[in-house]
Amino acid sequence: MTKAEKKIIIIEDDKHINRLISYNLSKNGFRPESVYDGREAMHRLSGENFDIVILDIMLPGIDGFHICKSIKENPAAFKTFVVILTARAESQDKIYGNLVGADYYLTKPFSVAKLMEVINDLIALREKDFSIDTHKTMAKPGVSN
Amino acid sequence: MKISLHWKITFIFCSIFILALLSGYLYLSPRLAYYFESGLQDSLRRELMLGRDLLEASLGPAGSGGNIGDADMLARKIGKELGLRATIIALDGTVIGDNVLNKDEIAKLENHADRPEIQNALKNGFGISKRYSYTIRKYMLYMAASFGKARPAGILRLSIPLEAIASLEAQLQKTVIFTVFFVFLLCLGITFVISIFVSRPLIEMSKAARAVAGGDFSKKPAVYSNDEVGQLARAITDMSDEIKDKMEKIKSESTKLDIVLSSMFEGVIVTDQAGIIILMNPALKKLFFIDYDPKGKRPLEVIRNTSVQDIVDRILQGKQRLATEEISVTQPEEKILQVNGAAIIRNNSLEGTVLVFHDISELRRLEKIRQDFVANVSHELRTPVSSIKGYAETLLEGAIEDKENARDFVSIIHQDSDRLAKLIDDLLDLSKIESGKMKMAFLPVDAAALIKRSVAVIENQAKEKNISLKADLPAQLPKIQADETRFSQVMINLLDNAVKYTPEGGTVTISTSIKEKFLQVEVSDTGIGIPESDIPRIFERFYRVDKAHSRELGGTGLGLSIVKHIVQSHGGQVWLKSEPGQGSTFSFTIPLA
Ligand SMILES: Nc1ncnc2c1ncn2[C@@H]1O[C@H](COP(=O)(O)OP(=O)(O)OP(=O)(O)O)[C@@H](O)[C@H]1O
Ligand SMILES: [Mg+2]
Repeated sequence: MTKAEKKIIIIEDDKHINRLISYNLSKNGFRPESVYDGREAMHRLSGENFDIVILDIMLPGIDGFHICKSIKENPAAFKTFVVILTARAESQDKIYGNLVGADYYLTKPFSVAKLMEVINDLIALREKDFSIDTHKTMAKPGVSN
Repeated sequence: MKISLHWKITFIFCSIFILALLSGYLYLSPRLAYYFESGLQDSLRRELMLGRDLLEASLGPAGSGGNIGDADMLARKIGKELGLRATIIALDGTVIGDNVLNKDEIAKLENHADRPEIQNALKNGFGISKRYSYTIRKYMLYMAASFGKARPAGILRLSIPLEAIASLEAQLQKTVIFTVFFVFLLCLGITFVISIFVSRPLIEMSKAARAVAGGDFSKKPAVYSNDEVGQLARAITDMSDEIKDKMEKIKSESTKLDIVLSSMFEGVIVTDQAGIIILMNPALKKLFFIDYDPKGKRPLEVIRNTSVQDIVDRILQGKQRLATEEISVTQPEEKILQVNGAAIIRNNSLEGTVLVFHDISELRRLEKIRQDFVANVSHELRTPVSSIKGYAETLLEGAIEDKENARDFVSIIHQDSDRLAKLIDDLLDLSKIESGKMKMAFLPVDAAALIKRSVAVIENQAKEKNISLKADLPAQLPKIQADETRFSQVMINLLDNAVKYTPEGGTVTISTSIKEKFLQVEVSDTGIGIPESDIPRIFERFYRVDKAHSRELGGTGLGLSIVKHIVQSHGGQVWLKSEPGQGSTFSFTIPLA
């Protein structure tokens, strides 16, 4: 599976930041999809299973924690990694992110390079999982500033 | 049986009087009878001597012998003269004259020689006897004396009924009884007066003491004298005053406590050492909608909350002296209460608990607003910084060579820097206004000029969107009392919004009117409008109907909250009417100069 075939969705209401992530992922060979509010995101996620979800928390409509929780509660989306990318930098928010099952928690302002690295790592982890094809091991949720 | 002091005194006094009187009577009465009798005897004797002399003078010479006719006539004469019974008896005992009996009766009379007075008179010339007379059927006193010139010629006897003495005695008795009765009445009167002096003050004192016991301090025994009774009265008065003072002090303390408890905003419960409620203040009753007296019940029965009962239990079991718990109640209203419990300890022993309930809902709500604000500020600041940082990084990583996008990215950096700068300005303004540190000079200023100047600032922006900006101002507008800069800020913010949220080709109109002592300014647009559900929150900080749209337009969501603060600091008001899809009208008032 090539990078271009990986399904990545960017859920971010700030158009500038959405475009920034999208541009850089494209540069990395992915073909990300962009969504700008919570409701639309839920709609997209219910129809398809993504490999990686880049998720903002303070979204109009439905907030990111809620979206993350619904992904993690959906058995069909067991392959999906969720990377939270948010301006909510309080430790209790990070704890809450962990609680709803986020695989990575990045706070704004963030380093583009770091975000790319996290995504590449997660993709690699998933690849490894499926090449060994034994019982799958979930990636350990990481936290970074 | 209760006999009053008054009657006791009366009884004793009367008894003493009557006893004295009776003993006087008993002592005197026989003596008086004797005295009367001897007086009677004396006068009878004198009369007897008188009668004898009379007889002797009328008799013929000695030895001429008795003449019965004469004797009887003499007896009648003497008897008549002395007003007594007079009898003349011959020496042999034959009655020869009597003024009470007629001749026949005299003739029928038995011989009187055996009568003791006659015998004595015959023997000694004088005799006396007291006895019952069958002749006239009365107790009589008889007195007899012999008469005659040389030798006795006969005997004159006078008699008087002893009745006189008896009636005299009866008279005396009557007098005594009458006197006793009179004295008794007198006694009553006297004791009545005495009782006024002795028992009245005592009665009054007892009344006063009873009144004090009943809580009435107005009755005071009048002080009559300086003696023991007077002292007692004074002592009672002092005591009553003292008690009154103490009671008043206690009463005023308890009313003070009452006032404090009932005017307290916090709810208070006091329980005894068994955990039974002995006091609950009105605030707490209101808080829990308790409309009955909860005294005698346990807290759990009245406030159906186990945490509250738990605090009481823990304190009463001695586990804690102070306990704090936050409880939330949903009925009748959702509230967060902080309950502080403390042990009531007197003389080293636990006497109960006191619980104070603070309603901290508002505190928590404000805390939440503050937290939300902080989170919002952080979010609003981090977002443009992320964008600037990210695009700069991307450009440096090579996008600078990407001719297609590089210009865009730089322009985004430029936009977001502006947004950041504006955000910082707005936040500073807001914090200055809210903390009261914003310097505002309220001076009479020309509203028309300020409005025109604000319109000029927005004109370009409007032109770009092909929006017509109309200022519908009357020729003569009165001056307003306002801070020039802040008033312009309000106008610019409202005009900026109107232009921002109105699609191309729309219209923005400014109109003014005078409302009492205020100038009312209205900014209407033909824009997208605001949904009814968003209107109540529209003046909140960071509140935006469509966040993405507003942000795209460079908005921070602080504009309207700044407007509201500034208008309110001027003493005016701001409000809006809006119809989604039709447009909005924002109105505010500013005091006239
Ligand atoms: N004239 C208007 N028509 C329609 N919506 C409006 C209008 N004025 C304000 N609003 C709504 O109210 C919100 C709050 O306005 P406010 O002026 O506080 O913030 P902003 O315009 O988004 O940002 P800022 O004014 O700080 O640049 C706006 O985001 C917009 O949704
Ligand atoms: Mg605005």
